[in-house]
Amino acid sequence: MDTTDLIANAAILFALGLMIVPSLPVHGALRRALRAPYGPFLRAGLGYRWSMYSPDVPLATQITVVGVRLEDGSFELIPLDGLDDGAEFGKARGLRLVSFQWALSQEKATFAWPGLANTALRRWREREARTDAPPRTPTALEVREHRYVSPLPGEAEDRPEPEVRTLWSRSLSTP
Amino acid sequence: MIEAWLSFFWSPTDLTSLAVFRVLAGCLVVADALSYASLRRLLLDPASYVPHDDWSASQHANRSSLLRALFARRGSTMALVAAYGLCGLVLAVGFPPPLVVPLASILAFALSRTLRQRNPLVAHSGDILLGILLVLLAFTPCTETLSLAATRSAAPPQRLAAPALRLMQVQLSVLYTTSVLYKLRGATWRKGTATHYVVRLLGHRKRRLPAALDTPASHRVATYATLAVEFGGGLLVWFPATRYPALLALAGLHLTLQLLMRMHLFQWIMLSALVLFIPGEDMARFLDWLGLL
Repeated sequence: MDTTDLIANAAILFALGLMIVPSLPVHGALRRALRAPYGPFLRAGLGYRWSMYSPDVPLATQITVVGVRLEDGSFELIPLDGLDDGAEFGKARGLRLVSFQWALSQEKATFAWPGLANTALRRWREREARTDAPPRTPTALEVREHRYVSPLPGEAEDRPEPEVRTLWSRSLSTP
Repeated sequence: MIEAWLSFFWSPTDLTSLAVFRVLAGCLVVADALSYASLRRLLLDPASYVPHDDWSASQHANRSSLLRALFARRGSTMALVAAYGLCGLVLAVGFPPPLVVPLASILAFALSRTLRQRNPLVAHSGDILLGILLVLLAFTPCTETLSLAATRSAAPPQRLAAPALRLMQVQLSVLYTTSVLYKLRGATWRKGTATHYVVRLLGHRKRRLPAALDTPASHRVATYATLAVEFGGGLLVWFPATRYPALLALAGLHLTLQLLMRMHLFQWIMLSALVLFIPGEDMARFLDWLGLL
């Protein structure tokens, strides 16, 4: 075995480690130590450590919606192209949009809430401008998480009312 | 031990299945690029649901000012998507100059990663797997057959050592088996109710199960069968006697999920990757029977 062969086999051994290490069920210092040599490769997205519906299947459908709070205190949902809004599921076609909508309610999406909400507000104002009804004034813009808890096995299939959590809001009452 | 290692990684092998995977991977990249192109206005453009300014100020854009500049214009975003699709086309067709396909493979990975960096909320596990397989594909002789390069060459396809092909197989096997180990930490998988909840995820659901199959008993069977197929399949694909039953079971699992759930390209990525386990000689006979070789 010459030097080239040795290098090739060492590269294979390294690649094998890259495949196995991210999946090892170890934690803490041992995990950090094992992952250290692979850091740049893992950051580049070359370590597979995901698994669909693991360790548990979500017990609820979780979607992120945007809406405005009106002067009378009511909340009006703003439908957004390609995203589910609870009134209708299936608008988010394909895993890209489903993943996007799911991820929107996670901590990592905090940065995206203001932009999403402003886009929605722009759409709402455009729609309002096209109607003949008296103008309405929104008092706040809100990003919410709606959770539709799945029925337990054997329970009736009725669509439940969502559990609502406000993720982000901005007052619109002052210009 | 060393003998086994050398034989496993370095024995010459028929490369027809690898070539089929290259074609499928190229088609998947093209499909993904088309999907990005159709969703660009919503997910990638400067005025998308994640506006450029917000993204630019976030930690996701901090690493590279080049990326910030690239994604500031609609035209350059579209150019990146088009380049990604072009890489897929190069892979699928297998263009002749020796380094073109490996470069296209690496570039497809890099562009996919770049697009996900612009909007990290659209990523799914299929992206990661396809990316790893594309990088490994670049280190294989995958244009020996079923490529423009092969049709222009007078030499018949050769049996060559392809250690990166073995690594791709190992990655898949590790993925299936460790996925079960993760799942066994979850209560729904242990109790046999996981599939009951999977088919009730409203955002993912494409169609309802027939009532006869949507019972607690059938979900118990389906949940444990999923675990058995993933774990058993991930191991049994290595043995000639059990390879085809294992591949059929895994393919059946992915096709069932594709039928019931909105999964973008995830199931097609998995199904394409399973091709890597089919011995090249068998694949060549099958393609010959179809008149494609």
